[in-house]
Amino acid sequence: MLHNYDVANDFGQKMQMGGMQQQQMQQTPRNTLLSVDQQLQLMNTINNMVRASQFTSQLANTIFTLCAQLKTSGSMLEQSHKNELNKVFTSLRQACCRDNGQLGTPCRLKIMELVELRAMNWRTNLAHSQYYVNRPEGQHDPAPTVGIPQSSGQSTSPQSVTSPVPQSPQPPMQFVPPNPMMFQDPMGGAPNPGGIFFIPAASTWMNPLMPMPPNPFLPHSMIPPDHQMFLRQRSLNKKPNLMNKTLQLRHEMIIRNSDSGKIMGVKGRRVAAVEQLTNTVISFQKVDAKSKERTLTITASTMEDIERAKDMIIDTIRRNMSPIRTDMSIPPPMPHSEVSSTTNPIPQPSQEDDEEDEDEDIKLEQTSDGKLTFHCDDPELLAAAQEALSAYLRVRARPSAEEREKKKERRKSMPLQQTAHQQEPVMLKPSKTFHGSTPNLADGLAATTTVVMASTVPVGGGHAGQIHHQQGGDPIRYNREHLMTARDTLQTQIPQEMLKEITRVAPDILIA
Amino acid sequence: MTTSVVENNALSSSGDVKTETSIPPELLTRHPLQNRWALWYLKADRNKEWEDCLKMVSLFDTVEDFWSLYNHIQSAGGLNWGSDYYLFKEGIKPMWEDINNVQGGRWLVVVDKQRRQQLLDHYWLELLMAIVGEQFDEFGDYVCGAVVNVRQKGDKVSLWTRDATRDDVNLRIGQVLKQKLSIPDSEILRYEVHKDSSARTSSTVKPRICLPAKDPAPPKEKTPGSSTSTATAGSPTPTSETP
Repeated sequence: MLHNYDVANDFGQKMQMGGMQQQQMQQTPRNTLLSVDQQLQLMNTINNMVRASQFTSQLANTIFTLCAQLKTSGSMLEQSHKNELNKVFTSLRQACCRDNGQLGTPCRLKIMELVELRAMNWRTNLAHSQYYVNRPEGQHDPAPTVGIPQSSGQSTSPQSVTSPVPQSPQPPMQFVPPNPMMFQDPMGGAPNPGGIFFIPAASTWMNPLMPMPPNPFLPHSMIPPDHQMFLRQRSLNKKPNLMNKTLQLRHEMIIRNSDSGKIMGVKGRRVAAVEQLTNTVISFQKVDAKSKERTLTITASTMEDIERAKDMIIDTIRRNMSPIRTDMSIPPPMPHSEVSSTTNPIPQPSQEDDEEDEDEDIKLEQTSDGKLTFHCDDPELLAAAQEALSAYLRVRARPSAEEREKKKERRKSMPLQQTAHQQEPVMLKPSKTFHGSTPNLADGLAATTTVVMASTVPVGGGHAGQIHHQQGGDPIRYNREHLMTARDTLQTQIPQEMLKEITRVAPDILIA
Repeated sequence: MTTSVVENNALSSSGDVKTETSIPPELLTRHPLQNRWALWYLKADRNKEWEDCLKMVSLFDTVEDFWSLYNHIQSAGGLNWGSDYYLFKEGIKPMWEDINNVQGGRWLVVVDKQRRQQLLDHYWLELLMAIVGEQFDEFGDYVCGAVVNVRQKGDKVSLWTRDATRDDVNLRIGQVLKQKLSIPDSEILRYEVHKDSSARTSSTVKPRICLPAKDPAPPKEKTPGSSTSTATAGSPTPTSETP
């Protein structure tokens, strides 16, 4: 049966007949198995040449040799040298993207055969080998294809590219018509070797009597009008039911795997939109979650569509770049202007002092009796720190005139002062201390939450403006009763700024 | 080495000589909270990305402002389906991705659909009071915030904590939560790790801690406090902070 034929034979003989100048491959016919080391060396050669953009016939030959080898050794190497395989496949894909036709059609076909073979886990099937065995690419090859065993007398003699029509309109069972996978620009007529890749829909070229799975690589789409020539050929093949399948341009782009989500969007809506807008089909390579890269395949019928889709994808990635994480110890700017004016003074000076802090130049300590102590070698720095703290406390302690008015209002009808005194023991009671089991967490918290706070609660007999350093001390607690009492006794007049903010951000949750 | 001691009194006077007189006495009636809190509101909108629906409504750090805000906005039960309220400490975004939440998890309270009328607002307010009032013993710093999800298929109230690996801390927090919300033993509270929730494939996440524990065996990482508190967990006894 056909699928038993070793395609490597084909190229081994071609090579010998073609008499292309070779290096080590000359001594090793392609149909003999090379050692693993030799194969790895081939891969290296390919990697290097592709990297250097040396798309020479030597590269083409190396690729041929490697392909022939991998047909037998691929599954083995997949186990033992997966990384090397990945690398060389990347190189091969890059070769397809970058070369301007120097490699030649047969070489590209070879690459594609290999890529497909790997995708099928190195297990070839009848449809796959038939497809490649019967390709008429021999005409492009320096050495004409010979030695492909034909089971019938109807051989696939070389034909001109423009009429790749089988001799027999009704091919027998084993015969598959040769097909023009690579057109030399059928529309324009100008030769464009290897420039544009036309892939016919898969099953088109298979013997219709032969059961075969649809090729997952090839999506179908509507026929663009300028493919009439091809259609004519199709009609010659007397398969009018396949009229809706058409040539496709395929383009691969490598993205960071982490960008996949951005490109897809929620439930794939974004990529669906791009597909619709650009008339393309975009498929994502299946990759391991840990993979760094991912290949996108964009299929379309015109190059412009592909380019547009590509632009949109790139734009999507750029516009959704993750922000650079800033130091989380700085609270994000708040839309609440009144609040931010009171919080800013402290983080800023402390931020400036941070470097000094790390050098142990300035030390902040709090003693149990509520004293705040600075230690510093530099008196100027000390003065600056003190000034900054004082300024902060002043700002905190002095509300805006508007707010003062409001508070006056509130006080008139509010016996909360008294409640506060009752709460004193609660608030001053040294409750369970924050023991040092998680020092880092405590430090982190100090950075994210209030470091120094001017407590306006009357402490120890009502010294106004006493400073209460909260860090590491007892948290201010209110239990349910306290809060409920406060709720009942408070005349809950909403601060103007708060009201404004809610009205602006979420008017629908405001109760009139 | 120069050492400067800034005494409380000294600071206020050195900072501003007039401070003493310029502090309005009414300021003294403000009751500061341990933390500054941010209320976030998520208005369901299928046409927008989740993050775009999320809005920070207001910040507060006093008991007074807390009530002002609470009393002037819609209660959780009055929100539209699909909406959420979040009350998080300032600087913590109410999302898994925030650096303070990424290692964390949540205590999840599922609100019985039949009794949502009486339970939802009660749960939410009790939870708010517990977090702003720092009712979680010495573990207040592990609390990130609270969430209420208003959903047709069943409302949820949850308390987010910072470190999912600290079973002792989370168990204690869960016990306080259970007691504050007066949740009977018949309802099981689950502690879910955010990482599990975000990586989930099915609709349920395997809880890290259950309260009361599903199996009679006590949790492995048992703290000295947990044995006594487990006993009292079910009964709504007054907290230790009660004067």
